[in-house]
Amino acid sequence: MARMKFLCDVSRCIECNGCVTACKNANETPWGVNRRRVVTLNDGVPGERSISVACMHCSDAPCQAVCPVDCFVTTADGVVLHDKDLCIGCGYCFYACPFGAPQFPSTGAFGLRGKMDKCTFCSGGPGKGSEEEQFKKYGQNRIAQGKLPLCAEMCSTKALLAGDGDVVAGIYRERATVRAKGADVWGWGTAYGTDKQPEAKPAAAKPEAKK
Amino acid sequence: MIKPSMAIRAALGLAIVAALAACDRTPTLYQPGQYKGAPVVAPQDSPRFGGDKAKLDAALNTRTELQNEYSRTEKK
Repeated sequence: MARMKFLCDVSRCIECNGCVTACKNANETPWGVNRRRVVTLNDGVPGERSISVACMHCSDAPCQAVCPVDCFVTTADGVVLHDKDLCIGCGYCFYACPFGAPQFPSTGAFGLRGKMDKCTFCSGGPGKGSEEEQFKKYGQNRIAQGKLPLCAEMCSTKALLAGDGDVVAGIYRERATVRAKGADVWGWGTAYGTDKQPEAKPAAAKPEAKK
Repeated sequence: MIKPSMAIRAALGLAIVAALAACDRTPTLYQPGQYKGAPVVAPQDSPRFGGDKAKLDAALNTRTELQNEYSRTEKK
């Protein structure tokens, strides 16, 4: 049975934010709601890394565990969805999620929170309704059309991979094998880089100013 | 009579077994069946796939494999 997963290859991510734009465009999320965003660590420092983050569709999702109205469900494909008709916008899932995936549109004055919104792996949402109604609530259902989430399909450097976890892992394994050799192929360092910073090039000697 | 070294070995063995047992997968907090929302419509039930899960999986895997430029650019 397939388990749908995202994997961001941080060695390839160039922080173009194409995935963020693609997601917003495909799902027409309201202002202030970003189902996906790019986080950069050590910005401006040699060796900086960017990673595209959204709902990771956890196998044992903490949002699911803390939801007081039990509006979360894991589909047979391993996608974590939630029913917006049940959601009360309490925000517990936001505190539980280690990735900051749940988003809350502000509705009305005084920062009133609306119902939670998050990445659906472009597989729509639970329940039946007209296509337009489902789109307004949850966004596109690309999986039902045999397509992958638009963020991954739009990624120019193919840093963001999506699909069945086994296939995605196979692709990443091949990349890691090509990138490194020998014992360096496997492990954390290969996947996420090492602490070693590239040595700074010695500054070219400036010609002394003529007096 | 049990020698002290044997007792230590037994205690050590028990400790290892207990430690290995603790390495088991942590229990899932969420129990299936708690979900109270609307039923999920399976993606293969869309008009394009007509309930054929294998066809859907094949379509998705083809798309996933298209993300692998090595398979697209190099003939193996």
